[in-house]
Amino acid sequence: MKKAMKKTTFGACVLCAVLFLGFAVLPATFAADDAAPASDSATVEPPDPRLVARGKRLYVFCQACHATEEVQGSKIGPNLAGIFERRAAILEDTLYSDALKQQDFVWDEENLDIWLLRPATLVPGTSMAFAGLPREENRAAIIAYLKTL
Amino acid sequence: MKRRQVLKGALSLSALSLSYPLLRPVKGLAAEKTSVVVIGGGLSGLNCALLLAEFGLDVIVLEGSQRVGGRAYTADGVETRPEYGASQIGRSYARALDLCSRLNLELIAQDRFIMPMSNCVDGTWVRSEDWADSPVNKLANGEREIPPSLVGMTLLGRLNPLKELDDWLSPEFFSYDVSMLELLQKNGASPEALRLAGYYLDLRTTSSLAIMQERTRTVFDANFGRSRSENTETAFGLGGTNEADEEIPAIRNIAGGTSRLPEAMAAALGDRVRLGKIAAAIDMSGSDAEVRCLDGSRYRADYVVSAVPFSTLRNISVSPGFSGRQAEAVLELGYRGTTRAYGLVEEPYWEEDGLEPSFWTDGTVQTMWVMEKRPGEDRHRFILTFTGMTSARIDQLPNDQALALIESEIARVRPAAAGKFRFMALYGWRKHPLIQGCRHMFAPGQIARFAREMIVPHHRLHFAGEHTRRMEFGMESALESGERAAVEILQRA
Ligand SMILES: Cc1cc2nc3c(=O)[nH]c(=O)nc-3n(C[C@H](O)[C@H](O)[C@H](O)COP(=O)(O)OP(=O)(O)OC[C@H]3O[C@@H](n4cnc5c(N)ncnc54)[C@H](O)[C@@H]3O)c2cc1C
Repeated sequence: MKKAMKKTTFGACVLCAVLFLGFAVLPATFAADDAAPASDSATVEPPDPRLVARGKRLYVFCQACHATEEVQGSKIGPNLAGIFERRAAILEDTLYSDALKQQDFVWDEENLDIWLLRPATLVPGTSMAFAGLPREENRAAIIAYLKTL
Repeated sequence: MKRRQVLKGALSLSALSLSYPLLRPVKGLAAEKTSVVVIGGGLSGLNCALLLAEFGLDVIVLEGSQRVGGRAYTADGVETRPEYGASQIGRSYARALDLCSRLNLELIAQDRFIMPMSNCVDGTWVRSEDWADSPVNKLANGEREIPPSLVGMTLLGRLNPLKELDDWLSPEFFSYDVSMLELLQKNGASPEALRLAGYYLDLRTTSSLAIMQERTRTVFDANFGRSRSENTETAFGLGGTNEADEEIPAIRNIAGGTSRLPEAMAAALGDRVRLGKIAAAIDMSGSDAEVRCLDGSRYRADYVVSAVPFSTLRNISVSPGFSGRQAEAVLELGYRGTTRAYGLVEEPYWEEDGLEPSFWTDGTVQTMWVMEKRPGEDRHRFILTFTGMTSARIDQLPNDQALALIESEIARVRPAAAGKFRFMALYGWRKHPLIQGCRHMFAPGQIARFAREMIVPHHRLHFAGEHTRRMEFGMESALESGERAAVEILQRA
């Protein structure tokens, strides 16, 4: 599954994106999930801040359903504070599909990667309505961000 | 005033307006510069703008009409404040629910219970409980128990092979991207079933797969957070029911009306939202994009979001122009009209003729839903819905003539009702000049042909709007699409 990753000007883009200083230089890239150039997806410890920053932006896809701070409790989907390496469907006062409740896996990198590509592939009948991230490096970015929660 | 004077006044006025731009400093003519211009202030455009603004981007929303919300439209000035557009919020509407909570909008359990429905088929009335065994019922075995108003959707629902919300985009299911007529026929629907369904569904011009996408999403919503499976009818068919024993009602509405949501979103965006700005051109031939409005104003941006329906986008001049399947989609994606009349029942006519309050007919008056009174109401409300050919019959007329026609049709088919109801409003979405329909509807073959290609960003232009949905339906699909476009731009910016 691992593709060769290109190193590009993405880092600079993210930095200015994080600061939101403007849009003088714009990469003329294309397509939904393909819009951003690739960056490193290798799992490094401590997490690559650029990857985390990018993951945070992609987290826009998740935020309507998933709160990130424990005190917030669960929204329509489970709270994701501490999600990494957590067992599936174990929070109280949280809506889980029957399909997910029957699972006994841990949210490790591998499962998260399959899940973020297409949840129904990992758990058919899931109640997470998520269109999925076809690009591996985007999934890696979200996973990097999830690890910080 | 003398005629000459009036003329003179008019002349000098027009002379003034002609020379007006010349009087302005050149600076006033310069295009306003921003990071992102969102065209269309419906739920999709507003959500996109809010998310981009949340990440610190400069964004401007250009809305062509004098109000935000588009197809979320509460008729505030009308008695009982009917909803011309969206109203029902399902339990799995993640984005709508989250926005309501963030914007402090209260959700209330839908209080709209439709009273039982009699049917008038070929001029003969049948009460709902007698339908299955009635001699008027010419449906085949296995179809007979389906009320005529639900025949098409129910039969199609039985054939639905989709399990997951994105299955409709998978080539595996493209064999269902054929007309409802073809699929129903192939699967042995009786001629009577097709005849009845044909009164309110565009059987020939609607892709079965598109209907199945909505059904799959409807069932998903009905089952959301529940452990048992539910039987639901069509999306927004007013068919959704709330059950007393449940903590979270299946269907909720926004307190004070659906319009409160887009209004609160626009308020959060402040002066980033500009009303009365009809975008006429998107020029991406230079080093950035320029959007030109009919009033002469211009906006330069790094990215542009089309959050208008394709029924409107196809009239905007876009350069470089669309090509291939995307061009096909923009030009040819199907749209549907829905017209609704809203009123009050002055006297319960059903006590006179012994039929049920609501009714369905195979004539111009298709469906009349009579609602249970809400607490504090002294009269029943009703909604008449016109789709397909019958909406065309209504839409061609000015409102007063259309209502007179409907009134006389009701009096003809159901004489007991004559003079016992009163209209408050009529609204036809096809007549909305900037939307031109109630919703998109893929024609047979269009999903396979361009459903995936149609949302791919075109140069600096990204696409939002309910027609660019992936997993959702209704308002939630509009919000979903705005979110997707925002993420696309966040990745490029
Ligand atoms: C009768 C009806 C009932 C419905 N019921 C429900 C329901 O119960 N539940 C539910 O979830 N959904 C329902 N829906 C669906 C829901 O209303 C829509 O999916 C959603 O509101 C669409 O939002 P949008 O942003 O995609 O488009 P729109 O709301 O149509 O927004 C597009 C905006 O773009 C503007 N515009 C167009 N052209 C231009 C231009 N050239 N320049 C500038 N601006 C322009 C328009 O004025 C409009 O404001 C219903 C829809 C209808 C019509």
